[in-house]
Amino acid sequence: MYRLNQLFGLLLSTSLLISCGGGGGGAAEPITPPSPPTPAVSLSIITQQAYELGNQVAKFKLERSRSTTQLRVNYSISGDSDITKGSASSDDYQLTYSDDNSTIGDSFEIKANQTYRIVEVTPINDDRHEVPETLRFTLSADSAYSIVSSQESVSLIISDADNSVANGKVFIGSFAAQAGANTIGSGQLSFILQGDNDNGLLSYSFSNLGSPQTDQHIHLSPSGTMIKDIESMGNLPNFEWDLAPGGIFRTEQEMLETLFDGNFYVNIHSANYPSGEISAALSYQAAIIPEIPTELTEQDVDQDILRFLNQATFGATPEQYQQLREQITADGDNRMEVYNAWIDQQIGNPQTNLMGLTDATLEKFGVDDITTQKDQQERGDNIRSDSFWPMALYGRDQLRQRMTFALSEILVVSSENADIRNAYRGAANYWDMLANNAFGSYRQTLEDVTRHPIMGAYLSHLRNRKADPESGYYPDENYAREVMQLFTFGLVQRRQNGSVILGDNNLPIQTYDNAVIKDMARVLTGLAFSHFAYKIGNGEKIANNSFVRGDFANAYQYRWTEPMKFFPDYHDYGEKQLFSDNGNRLTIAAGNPSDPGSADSELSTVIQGLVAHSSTAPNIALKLIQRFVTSNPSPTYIERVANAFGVEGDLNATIKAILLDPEARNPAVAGSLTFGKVKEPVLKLTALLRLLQAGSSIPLGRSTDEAINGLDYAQADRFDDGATLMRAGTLPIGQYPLRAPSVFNFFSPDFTPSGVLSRNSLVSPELQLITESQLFNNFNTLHALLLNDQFYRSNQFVKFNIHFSLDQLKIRIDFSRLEDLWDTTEGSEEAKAAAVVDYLDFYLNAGQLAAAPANLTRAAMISNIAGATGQDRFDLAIYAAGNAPGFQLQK
Amino acid sequence: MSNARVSRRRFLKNSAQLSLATAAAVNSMGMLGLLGASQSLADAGDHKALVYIMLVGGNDSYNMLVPTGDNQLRRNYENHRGAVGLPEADLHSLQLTSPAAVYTGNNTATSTATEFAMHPACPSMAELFNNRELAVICNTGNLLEPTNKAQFDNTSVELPPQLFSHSDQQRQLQSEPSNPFRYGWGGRMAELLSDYNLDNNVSPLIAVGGLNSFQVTQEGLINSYTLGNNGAVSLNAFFGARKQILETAMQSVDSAAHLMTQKYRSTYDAAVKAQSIVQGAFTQAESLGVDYDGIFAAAGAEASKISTMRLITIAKMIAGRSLTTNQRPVYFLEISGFDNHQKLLSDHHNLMAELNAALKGFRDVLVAQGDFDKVLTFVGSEFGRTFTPNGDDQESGTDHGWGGHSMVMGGMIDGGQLFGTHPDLELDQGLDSGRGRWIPTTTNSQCSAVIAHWMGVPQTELNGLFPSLDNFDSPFDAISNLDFIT
Repeated sequence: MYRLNQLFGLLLSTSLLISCGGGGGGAAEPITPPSPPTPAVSLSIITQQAYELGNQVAKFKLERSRSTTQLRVNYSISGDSDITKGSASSDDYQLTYSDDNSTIGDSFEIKANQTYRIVEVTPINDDRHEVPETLRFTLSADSAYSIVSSQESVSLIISDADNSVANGKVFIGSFAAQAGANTIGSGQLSFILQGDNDNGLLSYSFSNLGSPQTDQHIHLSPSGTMIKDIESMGNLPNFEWDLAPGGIFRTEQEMLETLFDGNFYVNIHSANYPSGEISAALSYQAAIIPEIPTELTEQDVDQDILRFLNQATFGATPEQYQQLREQITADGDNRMEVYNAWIDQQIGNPQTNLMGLTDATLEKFGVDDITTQKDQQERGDNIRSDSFWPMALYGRDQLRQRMTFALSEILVVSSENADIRNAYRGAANYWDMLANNAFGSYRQTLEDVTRHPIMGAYLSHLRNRKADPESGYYPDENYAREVMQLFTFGLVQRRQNGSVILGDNNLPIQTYDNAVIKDMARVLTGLAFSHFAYKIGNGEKIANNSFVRGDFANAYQYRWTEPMKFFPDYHDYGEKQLFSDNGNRLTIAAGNPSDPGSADSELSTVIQGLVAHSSTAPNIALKLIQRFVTSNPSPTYIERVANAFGVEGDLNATIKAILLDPEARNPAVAGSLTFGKVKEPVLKLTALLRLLQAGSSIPLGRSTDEAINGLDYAQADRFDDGATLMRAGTLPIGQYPLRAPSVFNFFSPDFTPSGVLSRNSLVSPELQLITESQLFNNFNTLHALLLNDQFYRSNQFVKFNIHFSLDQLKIRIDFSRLEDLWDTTEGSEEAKAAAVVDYLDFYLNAGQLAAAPANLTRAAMISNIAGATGQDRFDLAIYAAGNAPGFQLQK
Repeated sequence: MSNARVSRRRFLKNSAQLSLATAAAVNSMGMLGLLGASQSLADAGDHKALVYIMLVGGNDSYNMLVPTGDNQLRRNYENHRGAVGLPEADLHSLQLTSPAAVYTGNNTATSTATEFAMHPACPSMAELFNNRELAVICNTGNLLEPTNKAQFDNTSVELPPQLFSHSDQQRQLQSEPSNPFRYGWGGRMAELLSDYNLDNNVSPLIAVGGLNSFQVTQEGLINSYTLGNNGAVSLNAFFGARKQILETAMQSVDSAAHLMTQKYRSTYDAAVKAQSIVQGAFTQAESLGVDYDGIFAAAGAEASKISTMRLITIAKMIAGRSLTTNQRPVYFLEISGFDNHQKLLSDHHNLMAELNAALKGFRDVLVAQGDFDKVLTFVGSEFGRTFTPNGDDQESGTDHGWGGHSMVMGGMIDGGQLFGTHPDLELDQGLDSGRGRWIPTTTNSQCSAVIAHWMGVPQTELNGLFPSLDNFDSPFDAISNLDFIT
């Protein structure tokens, strides 16, 4: 009944259409000849371009002139007649009719009563990088129809993506000396390939060639074959390169694949080096998305540089700002390349070393001999914890140490634990291990963490032994749980963009249950100290063969600085059923107790599985973004960083993805009410102390002034000039590196204070530390620092200060930069005060106050500072810059 | 009884509105007039405070309360605790005023036991128990509905999410396991009891040390206030230009400011408003002649322990209350370090000694200042620990468990008893969900409901405060055995 009605309605509407289409109400129907004439068929384009990204479909129309019976139309498919161009093959697309979604076979079919059909060409989204591919349909002759001339074929193009800016692919390179050349020439390069991979814009700048430039080319690596001669000299802005085949290549597709393989380089030839003085490879950076062009003012660019430095270091300094400012153009359009090069440079800076600095300091605080009794020496844990400050303030490896600090807040150990206080060298070594891995793989980091005796002591898998049901004991489950909950994939299943996946019951899907923890605990049996040292006075590192060797920490602590090893007698070699991911459970087959590597390879397999779990990348990506950029990143930002993290946890790619993401670099966030994060107490203080050049009077290296003792630290050259020892002591700021209250860190990544933030479903982890009492403690800490006389580890330890005077030990803020600014600024007291306020606002705050002129904070600071005298001016300026609400956020 | 209480609440509310409406007039009457007026309105006896002591990390409470004697319970203890078992000779025995209910293997019948003792480091806790000032609530834990081993094994009941995870079980204990965390029951209770809490300058939710889930409110209009370990922190050298700049800067933060900056300002405002009230309370407390430090020292509490500082701070806040301040405050503090995966015997011993001295010292100062009957002290932890150890020597510890013992202390407590139901300590049967992770026999929400009711939440509102309570026997029915308030 229903169908009949429907059909009736269809017939009715069709007949209405016919009568309307007839042109005049009373016109007679045209008379048709008795025998059906041959219909004329034709093709015409509706949408020529198909794109894999976004599944955009190309369409064309197949039409016939007359006849109402079913008609089959034959066709053939071809590609581009130019063999250098791309041609589609059958695995690149699907053909369907738009009216019923049916698949198209070897011929087209026009059904009875149809005058036309629309053919849809749906691209198949593969992961290959492909040049635009032509797909040409040509109708074949047949007696059943004629073909309208000039409408016998259509050409469609299938591309990877459209040419919107966001689909561009970024290749970056740094110019350095070409093999064999002795030069200080350097520069930056970028190539932005448009979304369809057809061509792109090559830009570069370089300087400091040793002799005049003679040529510049694109070459193939490693052969050096020339691919393209760039027929100009000097810096190149936005040169259009069409990837036309050159050198050994015959097709654009070969060129494209070589480009993505990283085998093209640009070199600059000079009189001294006719075959090339400097060169830069074009290396693909999947995590970088081209800037959507906005008009950046010079002020925007300045703010971005400061934001970048405060995200990537322990605080922006005028020197660091100058270095970047000189390389970045006024409109900032090369800033991504410059930042990228800065990151690479940071990665290359030699690592500062917490254990080394701790050892060097300890030698000077107590009697000379490191092997003497502990009570004649200051507690090592004090020194270990103070040694953080010179590294954060003066280390040249700023980004590495920032990454280490971030990792230490994820892979948490804490000297709240007495074993870890005693084993201070082990704790320092744990920090250095994180630093060593800071730009390596998270998989290796986690393996090193798992084997580190400090973690073994903290989460108690050190000396964890296999079950003995007879005696009624079972393996320790502590590390087994936290390595999943906190260090890798977390409690619930997540998508790559961090969103929680719900199960059939609309509840989050749990990533593991207690049975998994029990089996994971069995994986972690049999680990104990690999080394130890003889008693005090000897100091020789010795292999340990006793599983039960205890926690004793002497001056050497070799048991605490060498990775744990497996003791086969105590490892459970049985089969284990571990966590699953996307329905695949990780099962560890029974191992072989007589194979010495069996337990090691089991652990490696499990670590690899933990890091490769699909929820690990988004979980760790979110935690890291929160440490560097913003508490509430967008899902797409998380996804981009998680993609960079990958299955191995590529931390080099991850930190670049975090810092160079459009969301991190978008100047519009200045006006956002939600973007950014509250500055962690430690980072707020390091930024202030770095800018104000705080330090003691004890140089880290050898003092140039014979009247002053230095620390004589052998690696002082890894620090900025002027670096000093900082026995800062325990400042009551509620946060101490390597001393979180628990494995849950100083704050929870999902902490949301009640009120306006929780109502907006926003988190603010750092606000967990800002309680009423802590806030006042923070005010008071700054007050104490500003007294400039009380900033050193408290008096009870002065008795160990044998080599230096107490005055030398005191850490002081250097007001000279602010004093110079005051003196050199022309005009009224207000003008001078404004210069000081804006200076602090610029470096500490990326100019947030200056950018919001309606805010009363700046005016209140200026008027009060202008009304003050002497050093009180700077005291006021710094006190306000530390405590005023307008200075608490890193946007 | 309850009618009288309700009418009192209304009376207090009306008087609050009156005093707000006539604030200017009251000020002109002078402070003396205000105090005189208030004293005639408020009943000095109507002050009730909850002190919530959270043992963070999962207290191994089956070594805090230990079975003794020649019986099956003791034999199970000795057989299964292995290397972490405590010898009977070292324990401090308890005199139970009535036998404790013991689980028998089916859900309805119970047997009884009378021989129990406290940890070797807990002589004062045993003394408080024997003085009927302290009671133990056995084997409490987070549950969504009554659960037995078969139901646990075949997951035929709804279980609290993320069992055995610290962070989740802490949140569930301090709120409710039935919902994704939105508020703590202490915070919600303060909202329900807001008629009693008339002070606009200081929150009725006071944390000593740090923020917590327990005091997060549902509506978000009351925020907890965090005191330093030694009381309110006062600002040094905060006057003149410094103060003027900061005050201007704080006032410039409005609803158009970044949301995190708004929170920074509101924390500052709360700190400033409460500062003088708290300092006033401390001054008043210190004028009472109670030797806080001496009493705690005599109880064996080390002055350098954070728990000592925090409990002295709370006692002073209670002592220094004025009649216009909050009459139903909720105090929260944590004692950390209970995650004893290793070295249980030594580390837990130290913690038990700390708890023993802290409770004894706190009890003695409350008695000295006359407030012991007004202050209910609750001691709980996110979970108990595995009954079986993870090693066979002195270095061994225990892992995350489920049910564990809670304690309540105060003049209102019907002490000297074990409430709820004690497990039979049989492995692989009965209450064992694996390795002696006992399935709780009393859900935390039942226990919390009794406390909330004592604070003033009507029984009709308890199911709203604890949504899963509906699934269990009423905590006020005899079968629940939770009648721990006299």
